[in-house]
Amino acid sequence: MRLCTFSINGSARLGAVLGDYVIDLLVAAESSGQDLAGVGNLRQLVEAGPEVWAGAGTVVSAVSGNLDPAWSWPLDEVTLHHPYRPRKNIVRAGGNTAPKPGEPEPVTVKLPPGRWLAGFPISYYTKAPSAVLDPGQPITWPSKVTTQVYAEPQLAIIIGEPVHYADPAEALEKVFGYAVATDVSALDLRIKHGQWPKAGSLDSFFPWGPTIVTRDEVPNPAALEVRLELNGDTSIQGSTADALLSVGEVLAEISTGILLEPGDVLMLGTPENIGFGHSPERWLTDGDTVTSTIEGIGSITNPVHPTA
Amino acid sequence: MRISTFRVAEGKPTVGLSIGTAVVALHTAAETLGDGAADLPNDLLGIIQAGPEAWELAESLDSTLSNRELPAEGQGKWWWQADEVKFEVPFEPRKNPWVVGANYYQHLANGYARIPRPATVPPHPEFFTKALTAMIGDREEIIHDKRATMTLDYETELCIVIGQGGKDIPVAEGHDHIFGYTAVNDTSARELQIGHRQYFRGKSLDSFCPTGPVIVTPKHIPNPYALTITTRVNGQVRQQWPVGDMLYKLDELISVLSQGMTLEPGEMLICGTVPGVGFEQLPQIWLQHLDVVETEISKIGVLRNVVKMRQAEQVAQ
Repeated sequence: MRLCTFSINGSARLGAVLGDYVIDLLVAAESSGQDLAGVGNLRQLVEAGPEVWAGAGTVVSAVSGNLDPAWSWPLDEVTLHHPYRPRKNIVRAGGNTAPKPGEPEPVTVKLPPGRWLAGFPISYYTKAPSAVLDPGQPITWPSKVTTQVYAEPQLAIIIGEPVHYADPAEALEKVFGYAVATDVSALDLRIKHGQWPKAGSLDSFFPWGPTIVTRDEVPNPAALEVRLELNGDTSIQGSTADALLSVGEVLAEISTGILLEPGDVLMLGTPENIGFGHSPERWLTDGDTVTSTIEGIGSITNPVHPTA
Repeated sequence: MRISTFRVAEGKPTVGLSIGTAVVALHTAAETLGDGAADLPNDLLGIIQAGPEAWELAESLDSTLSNRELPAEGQGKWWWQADEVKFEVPFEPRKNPWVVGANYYQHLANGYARIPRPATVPPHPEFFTKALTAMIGDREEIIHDKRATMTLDYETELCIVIGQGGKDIPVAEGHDHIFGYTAVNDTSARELQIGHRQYFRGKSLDSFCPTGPVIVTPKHIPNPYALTITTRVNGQVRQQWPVGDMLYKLDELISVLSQGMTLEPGEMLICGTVPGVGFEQLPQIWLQHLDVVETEISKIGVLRNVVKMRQAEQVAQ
């Protein structure tokens, strides 16, 4: 399934995308006699568990050849939103890029043995859910707060069932689905505050979606092409295969000690840095257009409009 | 007022007001007394989100209750002695709590001596976050799971609960956005905190954020800098330091955090720990199975949490 949150005539609806059409999943379910257990929006559907997901799948297959204009619209006639605002911060895997030939191995902090474990290559940090942004809406920030804003394309991982002390294969089976995200952050704020979450949490710094593609339609999340286009020119191109830790490995590491819950969203990391260490440095500027694309998942485009 | 979420035995979570040594069920008390606070939202986050008029109703009920003797016939129905109730996590915020790193010079200097690196005062406040799943209430267990960490440490900190939201808040107006104060133990897994460089994972293990027992409004804590932070482990004082020694003050923290980012009602901002954590000791000492950790801030209260090692048979399940 390809699920989304959309609106037509003002009210937000839970949608499923079928080709060039989107259906109101809840109305379609009602008309085909399916009970979706009181689910009212996409977040609740993700949290509702496998039985309800199967019910939604039944609705989608039942109606797919027989769209009723009472609950279906051409995609270009509706407004697509971000899927939902997560209940807690989005967890981002930082430094999750395997070294390219000739590049040094990732830095690990060497600490005295016996007292400390060796360093971990991945740095985990978070993004506030208040940063969510719809496709097409402007990425914005006060210019007096930061002048070094950059964007990276990300595979967003949506958790479907609890993940706790899971091994990578087991963790992968708890994933509900995947989406595209643009991770917007500010290098000067990272440096200023030492730790990174504030830099990536400014309002509008988390465009994601618009669709969540369920796991069954993404057989291999470790081989997806990832791309960022800035004003139509490709500025980052890579693959989820470039990640040092795969989706399952990231979930396994973070769930060692931290319960991941249905509806949680994580980001795998960028295949290549931009801005930070990029030569010449290219910061986002007024009038830019940013598009993140992941093969088989979709793409999201946002204009850039900083304020004074 | 001293507002909380509490539970009696197996009862449901209830919003409470601490009156002297008693805890009063806010809604039932208000209904019994015909007080306007009866119409307040049923949960503490709802009350905080409802804004100043709602808070004023609760403060007014608090004054009414404080100025009279609690009727004996209400005991066990809408009020209890504090030792008869369990204080829960006050509420679950809608995003991760923010935490300020390195906000007390002596903690910073002692810690750097163990890394070792030269101690440098951060030129701006350092903010990281803790997972919501880490929040636990009073008398809940701090879990020590050896699969995740071997270096469990305590950090008592003052926590601000944001009342009125806002963005780009001027320093001079920072204080106006405080709903109240509570105590937090920013429990830490040091090898994860340092090994991952970004602190999120090391600060977010399950149960690593004891919070409460109550939230005290500025009316009852006019000067938060006069409070004292104390941590005891098995009765031994490990941290004791004035809140007021912080490098970046509350107004400035709120202002800086809100730059370009909307602070929302009910957001939590944990303001940094004081000297005396286990990491600073020589040799370093880590929390052990059955240690009793007391997280205390004067005028707010004490959280008592016992460290429990996950047993091998539980781990196998």
